[in-house]
Amino acid sequence: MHLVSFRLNGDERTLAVEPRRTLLDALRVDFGLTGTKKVCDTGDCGASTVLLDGRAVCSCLTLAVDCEDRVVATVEGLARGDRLDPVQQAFVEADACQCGFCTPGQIMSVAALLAEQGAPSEEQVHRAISGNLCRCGAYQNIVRAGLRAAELRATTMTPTRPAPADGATQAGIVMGGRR
Amino acid sequence: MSIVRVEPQQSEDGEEQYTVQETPMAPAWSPDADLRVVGKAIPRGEGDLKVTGRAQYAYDVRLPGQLYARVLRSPHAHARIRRIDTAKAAAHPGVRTVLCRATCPNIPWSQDTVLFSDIVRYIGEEVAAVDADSEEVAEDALRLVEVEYEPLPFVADPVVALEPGTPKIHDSGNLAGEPQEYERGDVAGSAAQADLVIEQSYLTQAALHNCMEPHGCTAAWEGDRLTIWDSTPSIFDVRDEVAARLGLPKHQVRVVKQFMGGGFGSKQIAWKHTAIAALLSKQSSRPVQLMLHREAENLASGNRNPTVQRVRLGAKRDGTFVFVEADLTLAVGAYMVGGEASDVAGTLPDAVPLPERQDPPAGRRHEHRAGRRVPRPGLRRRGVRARVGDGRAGAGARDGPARPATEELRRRGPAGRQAVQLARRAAPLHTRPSPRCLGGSYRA
Repeated sequence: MHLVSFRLNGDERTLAVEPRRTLLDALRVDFGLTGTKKVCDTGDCGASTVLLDGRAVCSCLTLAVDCEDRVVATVEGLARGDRLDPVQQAFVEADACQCGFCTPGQIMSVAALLAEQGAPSEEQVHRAISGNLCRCGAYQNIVRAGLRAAELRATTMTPTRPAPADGATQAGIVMGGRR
Repeated sequence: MSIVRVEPQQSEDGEEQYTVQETPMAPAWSPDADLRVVGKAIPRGEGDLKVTGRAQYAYDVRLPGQLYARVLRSPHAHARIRRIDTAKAAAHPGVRTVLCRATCPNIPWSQDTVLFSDIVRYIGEEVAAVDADSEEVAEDALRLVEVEYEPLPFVADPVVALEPGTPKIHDSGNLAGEPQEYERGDVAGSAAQADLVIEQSYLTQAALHNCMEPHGCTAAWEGDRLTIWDSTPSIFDVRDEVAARLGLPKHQVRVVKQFMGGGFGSKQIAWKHTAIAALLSKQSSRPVQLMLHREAENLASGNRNPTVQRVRLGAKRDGTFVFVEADLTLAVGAYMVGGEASDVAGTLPDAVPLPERQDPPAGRRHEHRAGRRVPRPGLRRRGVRARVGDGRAGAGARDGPARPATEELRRRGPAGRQAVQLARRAAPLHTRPSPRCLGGSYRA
């Protein structure tokens, strides 16, 4: 067993794990955060996507012991109480989920995109979710949700934060603060 | 004007039947009516749960003391298990229970077989199962199970499987149930009158569901009462089947479905892994979660069965369509698990009687279901039938390599065109991508 400490959804957490335990299993089994889904467990489907230091990664391909001193964000860390994150709100508005099993991974991929690119093009949304399979075929609405999320961040989120001098980096600051 | 509805009803033998009911049309809304639903965006009720990760699926069940199970599967399409030794696996730290034919009670399964059989009949059939403190340890333990197989001959081609002298999948032979026959009119006589006869064979492939959430469940006992959190839409079917397999009264089995990560028709029954989870949990006196990984899912939780279909149809030069004949072989796998088996059963009755016709053409259908040693058991596909649209075998006559023949039929006037239409309606099958037309002979 190895001790590993990382920041998880804003809290410092320490865990004793076998070296072979994936970040995905650490989240789902050890921390009980089952929002991140286990599907293929081989990096094919994107359902296990989380943010590692702000970048979207497949947690099934990431060993927990490799996360020492890093920052992990899961779908559970996005909302504040009942107040949804703009990406989550957009997924509800655009009806971007059917069975919902791929949804957390899709949301984290979009969140990673918006952290880098506050006003993405449709093609950029396509690229961001290109590693996330949806077996129900909700892709059209997922793309709509990605674009809608950018709108929501630009509008509804702005009043709640002090306006930065450079509007283009605003969305990134919001996400950075959350992590 | 009237509103036509289709009402499902349960017949005495448990089959769903449908009746058409007409009711007078409601008066039209005025253009300025204040409507609450129509034209309004209604947010998905469970949307918040799904976007926050709070929606709980079978895979997300976490119970105190929960163990994790894995299944050892046959690497052979057909083999006799000469010897199986689970001692090392059982002694592995963190392992609670190992089940195999030696340690499991004889639970009856389909076609006079048992849950853990001496004979394995497809690649992926369950040979042993382990529960342990973690999935990783359970997988370690599987590697410690020693199995000695005696490979046996097998045949994977459903047409060959029905020929005399081929290796038998069950003692009773390779035919899964009696062939289904349907005949109307004089097909042979009509064929003699036909000016043009088209005869083609079509092959449809197996299709796998690959739901995002794999198959699986969590089983827990409270005394003699069993609760199963299953990834299934059919809690009562699963309850009834588990109760029957384990010899429990139905009221002692409760099946819970929360959210389900897709099913597409593949999760409506209790599979072997459902019973295995219950048995492991009983022996370990702990909750047991048994979720399949993707490979196991593709091997052992059903498919849409492949078919081989020979279709003949004929028309007269004067515009009369005279007969349609279909000879269908369904590859239902080693253990057929009920349902319509990719319902081609309706082929002719659905296709041939046209209400407007006084003299429907002669028709004949011969359908047999071949058991064969293939990696996957057959599967019922109740949900699919409604969604197949015109994806039918006959459609290949329009789109496939048989196009020249259909062009010829079309050139021959109304009868020919009608023949083409009927061909397209002849076999309600799921053919996406379109079936390959094999030009009259089938080779696997």
